[in-house]
Amino acid sequence: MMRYLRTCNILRVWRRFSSISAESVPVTESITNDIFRTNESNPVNHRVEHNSRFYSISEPVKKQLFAGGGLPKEYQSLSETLNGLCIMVRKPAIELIHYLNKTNFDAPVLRYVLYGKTGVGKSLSLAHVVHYGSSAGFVLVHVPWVPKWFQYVKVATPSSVHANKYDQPIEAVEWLKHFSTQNGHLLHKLELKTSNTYTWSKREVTAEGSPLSELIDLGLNRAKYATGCIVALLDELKRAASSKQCRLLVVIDGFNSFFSPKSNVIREDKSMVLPSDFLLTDALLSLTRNDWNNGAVVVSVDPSAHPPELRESPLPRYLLGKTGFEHLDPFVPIEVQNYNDKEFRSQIDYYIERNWLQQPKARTDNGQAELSFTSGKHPYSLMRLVAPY
Amino acid sequence: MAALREVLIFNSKCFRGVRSYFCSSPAFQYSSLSPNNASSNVQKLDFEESDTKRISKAMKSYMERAKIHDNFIKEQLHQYNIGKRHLANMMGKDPEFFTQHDVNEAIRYLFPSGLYDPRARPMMKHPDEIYPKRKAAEFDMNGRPFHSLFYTSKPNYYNLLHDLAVKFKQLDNHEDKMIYRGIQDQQASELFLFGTDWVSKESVESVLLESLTDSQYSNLIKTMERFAQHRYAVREKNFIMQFRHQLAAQTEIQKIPELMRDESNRPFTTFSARRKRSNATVKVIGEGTGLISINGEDILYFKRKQDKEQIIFPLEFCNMLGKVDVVATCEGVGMSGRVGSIRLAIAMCLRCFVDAETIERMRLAGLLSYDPRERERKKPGQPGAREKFTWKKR
Repeated sequence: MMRYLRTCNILRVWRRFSSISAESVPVTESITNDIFRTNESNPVNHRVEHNSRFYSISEPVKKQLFAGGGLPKEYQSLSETLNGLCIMVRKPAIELIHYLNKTNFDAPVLRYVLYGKTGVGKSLSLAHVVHYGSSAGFVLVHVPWVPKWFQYVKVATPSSVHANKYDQPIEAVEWLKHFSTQNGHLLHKLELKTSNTYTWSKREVTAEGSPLSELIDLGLNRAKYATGCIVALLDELKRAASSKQCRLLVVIDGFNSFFSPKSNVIREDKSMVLPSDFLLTDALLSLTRNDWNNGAVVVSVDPSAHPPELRESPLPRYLLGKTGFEHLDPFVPIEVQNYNDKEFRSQIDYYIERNWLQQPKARTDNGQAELSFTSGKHPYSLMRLVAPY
Repeated sequence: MAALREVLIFNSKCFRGVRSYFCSSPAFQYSSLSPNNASSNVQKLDFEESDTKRISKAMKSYMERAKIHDNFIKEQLHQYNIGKRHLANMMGKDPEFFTQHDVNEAIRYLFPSGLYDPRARPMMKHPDEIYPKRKAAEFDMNGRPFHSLFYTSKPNYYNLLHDLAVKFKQLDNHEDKMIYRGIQDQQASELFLFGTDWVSKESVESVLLESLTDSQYSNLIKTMERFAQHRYAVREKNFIMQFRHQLAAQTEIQKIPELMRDESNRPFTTFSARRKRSNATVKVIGEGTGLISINGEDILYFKRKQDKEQIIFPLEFCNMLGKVDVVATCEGVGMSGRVGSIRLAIAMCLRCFVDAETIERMRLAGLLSYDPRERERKKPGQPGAREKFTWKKR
């Protein structure tokens, strides 16, 4: 936690005071001479040919999709320093886009699980998929980082909707805001309506047939009912998708946190509240079940989403545990690996072009070999190796 | 009075020699100022007239000490020889051909010691090796020194310099003769000093049996250097080589292991190295793609940047980064120690894959030397090895 905070601050300082900053080299759409870039900024069209190339995401799109999270913090700071968010098109994302393009939306939803060591590029692949979903007209249910809901809960209250379960009012409101930013225009266009009446209290009722935006607004204004609103919202969306009113894409990062044995919430009698005791868990687990159609579920499992004792293996069966595995089974596992030679070269070229790697040795084969072996071609390690601090 | 005379007579009868010394003590001499008195005394002690006349107490005690030391050394030597014979009998060997090496073996066998310092363990050596050498008597009974340069207080040192000057003159004379005969171009075989170096100050001191200051030693070496550069210095080769010692050849120190071949006919070597309580065994396989495996994991086994760079350093130095595979297993306390041991092992293995020039460059870079640094122990009365508790003035 401390380490990434420091990097954030220092990268911001670097950006202000560096004289050979990347701001002097603007990113334009028409750069085609670079082998490591591609012009194709619509992820719907990304194919194998775009492999190991960077495509840029414009600022308004970035604000819309990732304001509530979704990009790793350090990567976001770095993209601000390097004057533009560029994501490398890699095999896992291309595979997912291919599957999503070819999905039979009448069949029950398929679950895709991205797995790999920490720092290998799963979150960025998911971000790519989120951008794809938005471009392809999916309604996005995007949970940027699940452990944030359980490891760093600000307030947990007993649920108003369900006895024995817990609410997370602040996190719920944040997420509703994120959802409405991502999908606002689409919901407005689709005009989805509720199919049930939701009674929140004596005076607050959401009648049947009211627009979903009303439900969202209620959640945004009334933190007490926000979690309940999310449950209702997800339920409605599932129903809407099944009845072909909209197409739903569920993207969850750090899914194994739902099955983690720890959270930071402790009751008065010192017993721990497990993630399975939270209402939001139920809502999302219901959504990731394959009892609906006209959508897709893309999920990632990461060792860092679990407490340190449970990070032995990056594989899905270990991280999900018995309950999680049975919940998600059958799923399509997609491994995210370290950079291959082409991707690594591309990353280095990008850094050199953005003036992030300034030593002349970085352009030589020897220098690149040194970087390659010292980082082990691990994406996160390379980013840290090359960082000024 | 009678009693006093009796004492005197008793004295004179029993301690004759002592009385003569007593009589010739300076106190006694100077107390009787008149020459008549002195001569009358001399006349009384006829039998020891000239020898004992001018010996002072200091000289006397010096002679005694020298004698005692000589006797002591003789006694020690005698005991050493007898001891050797005893040992030989005990070990069942022939006493006639029992060497010092055999003596050492016997002592190690009969008196096994767990002490750390070799100098603290039991030993039996020739007295010359144990007891420091002393100079023989430097002046005679009359107090006249034997050596003409005695009053320089370092006669052997200045004698050596004097000898050098004399030899210099001789070589110059020889050179003159050669020039006169017209054969100056015939170069005498050159004095080959490569692979040797001047002896240290301690060695010179032990030979001369005199302590030297640093400036005296450097003066000596400069003179010898000048002497060795003379055209005909080879004539005094033996003299010069007395003051030079052989330097150990580098090639004798480290032997490069041979390349072995594995099942797929790829060349490989193995090496085990230590650093600071950790050890590692590394196998470097040629014709590789640059795979690095440490205890089954890749280079990210080490979390710190400096550790990863240490592993890469020998490979990068020899430009072997993508050309060999490295399979390492390491154990022991501490990341730094493990990393250091792996690095040394990789460098040692790479010697088989590179040319001699690169090996020399590696040696100069310090890649091939064992790092002997260990954690220094904490001392009582201090919180750490060097750190002291807060000093309070009162």
